[in-house]
Amino acid sequence: MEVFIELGLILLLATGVSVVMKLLKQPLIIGYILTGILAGPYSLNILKSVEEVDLFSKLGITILLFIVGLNLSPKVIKEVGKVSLVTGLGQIIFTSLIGFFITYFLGFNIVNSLYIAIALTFSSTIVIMKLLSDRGDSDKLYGRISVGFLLVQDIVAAIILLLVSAFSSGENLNYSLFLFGRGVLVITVLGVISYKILPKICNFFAQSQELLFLFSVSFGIAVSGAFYALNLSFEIGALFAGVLISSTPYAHEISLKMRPLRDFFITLFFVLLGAHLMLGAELLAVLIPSLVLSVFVLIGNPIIVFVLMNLLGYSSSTAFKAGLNVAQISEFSLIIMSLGLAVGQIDIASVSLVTLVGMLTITGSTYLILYSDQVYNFSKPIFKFLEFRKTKGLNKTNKISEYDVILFGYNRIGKGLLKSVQKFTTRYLVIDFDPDKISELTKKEINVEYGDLSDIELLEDLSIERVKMVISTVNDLGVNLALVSRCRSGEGEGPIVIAVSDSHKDTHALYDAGASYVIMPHYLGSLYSSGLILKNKLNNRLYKKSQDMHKKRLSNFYGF
Amino acid sequence: MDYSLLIDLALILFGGTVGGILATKFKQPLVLGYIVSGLFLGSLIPHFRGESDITTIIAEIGVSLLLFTLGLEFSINRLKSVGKPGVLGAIFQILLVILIFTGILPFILDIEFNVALYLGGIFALSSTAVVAKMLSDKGDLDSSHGDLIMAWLIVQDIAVVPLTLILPQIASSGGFDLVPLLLSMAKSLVAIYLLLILGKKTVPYLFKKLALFDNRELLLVSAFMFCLVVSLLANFIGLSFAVGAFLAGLLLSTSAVNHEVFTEIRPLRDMFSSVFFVSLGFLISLGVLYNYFFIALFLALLVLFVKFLVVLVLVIFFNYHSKLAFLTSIALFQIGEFSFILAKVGFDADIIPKSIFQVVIASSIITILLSPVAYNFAPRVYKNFRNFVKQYVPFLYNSIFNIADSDAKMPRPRKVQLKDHMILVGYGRVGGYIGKVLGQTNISYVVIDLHYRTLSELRKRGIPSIYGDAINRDILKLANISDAKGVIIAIPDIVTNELILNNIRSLNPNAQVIIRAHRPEDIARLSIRGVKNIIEPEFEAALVIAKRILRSANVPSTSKIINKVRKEQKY
Repeated sequence: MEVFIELGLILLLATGVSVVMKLLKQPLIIGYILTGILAGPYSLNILKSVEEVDLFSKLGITILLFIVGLNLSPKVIKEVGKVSLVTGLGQIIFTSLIGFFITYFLGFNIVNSLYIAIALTFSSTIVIMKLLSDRGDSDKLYGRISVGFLLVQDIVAAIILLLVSAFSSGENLNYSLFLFGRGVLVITVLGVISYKILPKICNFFAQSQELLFLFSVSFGIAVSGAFYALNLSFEIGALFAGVLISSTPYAHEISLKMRPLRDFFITLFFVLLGAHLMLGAELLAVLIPSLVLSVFVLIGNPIIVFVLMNLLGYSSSTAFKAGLNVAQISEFSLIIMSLGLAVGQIDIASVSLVTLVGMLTITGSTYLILYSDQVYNFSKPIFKFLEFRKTKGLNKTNKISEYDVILFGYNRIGKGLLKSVQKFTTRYLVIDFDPDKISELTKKEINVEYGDLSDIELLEDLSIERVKMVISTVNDLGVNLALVSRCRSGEGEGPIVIAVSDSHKDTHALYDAGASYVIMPHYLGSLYSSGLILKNKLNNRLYKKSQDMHKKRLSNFYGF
Repeated sequence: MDYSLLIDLALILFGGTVGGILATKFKQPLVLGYIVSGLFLGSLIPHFRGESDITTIIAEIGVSLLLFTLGLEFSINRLKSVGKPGVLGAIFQILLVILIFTGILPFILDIEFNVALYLGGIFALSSTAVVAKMLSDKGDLDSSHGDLIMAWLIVQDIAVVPLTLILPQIASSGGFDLVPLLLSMAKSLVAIYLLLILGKKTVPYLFKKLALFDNRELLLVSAFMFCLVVSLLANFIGLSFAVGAFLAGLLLSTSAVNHEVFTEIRPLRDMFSSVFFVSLGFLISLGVLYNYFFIALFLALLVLFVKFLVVLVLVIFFNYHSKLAFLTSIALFQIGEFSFILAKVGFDADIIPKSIFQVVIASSIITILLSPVAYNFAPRVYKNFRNFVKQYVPFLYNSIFNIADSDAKMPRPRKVQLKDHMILVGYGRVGGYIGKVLGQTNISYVVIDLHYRTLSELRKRGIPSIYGDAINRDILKLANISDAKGVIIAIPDIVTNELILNNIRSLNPNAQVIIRAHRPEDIARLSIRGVKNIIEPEFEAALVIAKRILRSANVPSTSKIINKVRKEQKY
């Protein structure tokens, strides 16, 4: 009964603190850790049945890692772009190197510094995903690059977990290498076996939802147990169990079913973490280092990413926004630290340090991301200074007036429009922010320049009012409004402005601002197809004809 | 780091999964698989047998969550729609079963009178999971007796709450010391009432506010918290933990987010409750089972017999046809999953000794195993029994069936005077729709149905109807089968349908027959017997749906495709 009272009180506290956190627009993790601090031995001292809560928190980590593994299907790894891979790895290397030296100079020994440095490299999937979806930016270039980072980090984390568990067992390097080798071997063998068998097993389980779910939970814990029995870590086992299941068709369903379990049990992990946080003198001792490291994560990490992406040829605003996303450390960092503590390689001070850094950076970065536009404007001079690879051309005012038509954004819509533009003029310029597309167009000998329409300076520097026609295929109301008002700011009529929108509200706003024509893909699509239906009516032969024409045009359009 | 607890948990869950697989393979409920796997796990790994704190805690959370979701899904409206026979029947059945076992068990099992009372409560409940599966497998869910059975079970499921509230108090007080008993019960009722009044407005309001954050994680944590806090509160004022969890669910059930909470809590419930059922198995040892097997078997048969009889009498008492009563009482004779909860509560409160507990669990398993078999054979057994009585003990036939099946409130069935009419057998959902259509035409028809309430409804509307089982040749004769144009059999049970078909063939070979079939296999069986018009309602519904899709998608030659599928279906 004691346990229930404790659990009830802790959850009551967690709900209350979480509500406050939500009102402050903070992620729940912060609330849970605060709950832990409140419930811990230094404040209210509610949490006494550590054994049970500890079991639940371990269950939480296991399930969390299992779900991470579920999303790490080998297929997904291929889909991560070059940019994410290069920037992600680069960021990990630079952050850990710099982090290591900072920590070392702050007076931590080598092993502790190493752990802390690695912990600093990871960014929080939960925070980033939530903020991206809140802002509706998941599909934007910087959003996709950020999601790519996260995957790269997950893979690196998996390898590090394996290494930690292999090297934790003692000083003997040979034995550790042996363990590492064994781990790789076990993973390969299990992987091959389950690749053949698992889909069949899962097919059977799919008969009953409850059974499928129960099987996944026990499979996750069982594989973890097997790894543990082989002197490898429990955590890597859970992650790997997830990867094994990820190739079955039920991965998505399983991960949906597991989510409530994870959410519940991981809560207790963070609460426990908060409870273990030393308050008082010990905390004061790590306070200065944690402030230093938090500043490093909040400012240093975005700068590292910014520079890397700038060197790869991305625009300042994309690089900046992607950089901000890594300005916090992750729940993963906390897991790795508690693992290090458990195998006795690091001390509790380091764990407290990283927990504190986690709280500071997660809180800080949430606000940084929410107010990213303001932050960008404020810190522009610094980032101007950091642009090692200056984007060329474009701000030359006289050059622009050579063109009749400027097309912003070479996307699906832009591609089609370009074909029409090419039919009446050769004096056109395409502007896009994706380096890959620029090189593709350059190969086709199309006038293309690098530029990001959401970059406000770009518009200010271009004497865009002198061209005859401006087309924007970027579906972003703010950007398009800025473009229209810029075009209408000069003397005379100004150029024809064509923009894209997908809601009638936005369309009206654009017309009111002075747009010449607004392309609404859904509206046009339905208009065209209703005309088609009216023409063909119930005559199937006519549809067949339309279909043939469509197929022909499609292959012309996409070039295959 | 110590992972032994986590590995124990993995073993329990893995054992549960294996048990679940086997149970599914043998078409048994998952609960059974869990308990049996616990039995073997307990024998293989002895330390599970000991009082493991953590397993107990997880199991207890499992029980709480089971009752929490029971409360969450409860709705007053649903209970209202159950109707009087379901509610009264279930309540009387529970009371009667408790009374009977309290009376006879002390003489059979050498147990105290209060233990017998408690066991009576355990035996009174049937298993919703088992019965619902049985009914849906046979397509009986929307039949007359299916309705009655499901209503009965709804009441029984809820009855577990008052039973966990009252039984431990009576049983542990030793005897019927009425005053303190009534006092403590009054206290409980007042406490529950206060809790419900206080929470009625505030809880939905608070959760509505929480839902505004649009964060599932927060909703989950707060719902779980709410369940725990109310349970603790209930425990504090002297109610049991489980009752508190039910009340928490009940309070949340009126809030706008009840379905979201349910989907979030469900995986947790499934995991925790599977641990509970597996851990029940730990409490049984194979050795004890071997020693007491015959006692368990005897007890199982006794329970089965008593429950069968009580339900049978009650259903007949409520003016149902003897066949309907027979099927209902066969369906309800097993011991259910909520009985396990009740048993565990009694065991933990030291009311039930361990050996008795083991025997009870074992006999529960036996009754669950027997259930589907018995239910499948029930229609045939009923017919054979009836024929047997009719042939060999005709005087009994009259007193059993004719009295049971005739009804004081109903006029004795008279032979209908129709000619060239249709006979509609079964007036459930399918039959009801057919009747509606026939009513629009000038085709005269007569309804044969077992359901007393349906019949009185029809009478009121002036539709000729006969109360009885169409298997019975006399009933068909009363419907004037020899002059009928055709018979529509709108009930799903294949056994019954075949028997009716035989009777029609001998009484009026020229009558046109249209039969409803539940499964594709049934179609094959019926077409061998030369029936041309076999309708599988699910198939027809699917075709209509498909046709609409094809039409709206402008697919050419829709009817050709439909006809092709139709041809393939009728082998």
